[in-house]
Amino acid sequence: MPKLRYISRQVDFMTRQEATEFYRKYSGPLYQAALRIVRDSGEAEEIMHDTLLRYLSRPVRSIAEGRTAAWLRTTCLHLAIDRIRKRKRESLFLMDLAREEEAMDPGEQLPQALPDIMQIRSAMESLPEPYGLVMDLVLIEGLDYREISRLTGTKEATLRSLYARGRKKLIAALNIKMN
Amino acid sequence: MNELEEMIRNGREAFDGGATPEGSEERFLEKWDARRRTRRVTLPFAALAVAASLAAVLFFRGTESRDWLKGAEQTPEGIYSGYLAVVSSVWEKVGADEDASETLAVLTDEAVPLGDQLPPELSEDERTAILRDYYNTILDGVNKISKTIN
Repeated sequence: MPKLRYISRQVDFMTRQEATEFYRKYSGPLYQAALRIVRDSGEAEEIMHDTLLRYLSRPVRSIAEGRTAAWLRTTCLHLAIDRIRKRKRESLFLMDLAREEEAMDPGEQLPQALPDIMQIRSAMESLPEPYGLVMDLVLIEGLDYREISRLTGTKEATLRSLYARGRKKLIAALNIKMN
Repeated sequence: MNELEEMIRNGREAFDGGATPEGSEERFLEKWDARRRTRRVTLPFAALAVAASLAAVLFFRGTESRDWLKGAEQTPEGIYSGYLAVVSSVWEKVGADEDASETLAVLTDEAVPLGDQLPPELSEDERTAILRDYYNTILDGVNKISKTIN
């Protein structure tokens, strides 16, 4: 069968130079996405490496051209969420984490002077994990609730509730910072 | 809050934590090298185990089996292409599931496709029939893996 290609892994055919170029092309955004979720640079690097190596272990023709970045991102998010799930050792980890928090209702009044983006970032990073995670996935990663539900195994209604509460906590944090 | 949400969405780059850690590229390439070395050592043994299992399965192929390749062009190349298409779609479904991924890899990995190993004296019809039987058996196993994935 001279014209057909074997099912074999890209890792077997890629030169070291090609693997290096592949790493340089995709590693940055994956590392950033993982870091925002796990909040630890060592773990984020491991997740990023694992994601890239899983891709390279795929058969050569298993992923359509142009879908590589999307596949890598989804896999990376999945691995990062799995990492914090294992950390917490809870099957319904988002819901249980959310129950630990008091339901405060500081009101949704933004500070009079709008915060700058770095102040917003600092405030988001200070949010407790379930809220920070959901807000990150919605606002930074741009996922919809259905996609987040598939990634986390959490119902959409719960995610919406976490997002709404996270939003209030973010505003409260910003009000504290601005005052 | 909409204004705040828009600021966050439009200012995504500000949420990046900086460059990857120093030495990350070298650590990645070490892992990549190690994976290539491991694969070359373990594959022959895995292939032997799979070949033995498949020989048994071929002999005892049960009534639950399907002809996964009846829609493919009935030539050796058509059968192989049809087989690749099914396996590729299951790889997409497997995603990040490590257990399913490993099992699928052992089942479907071929250092040399069977078609290239068959004696040249066989006719095209004989080669097609052998390949169809062989790859249908593998696809029975692939189907079982596919069903375990959500």
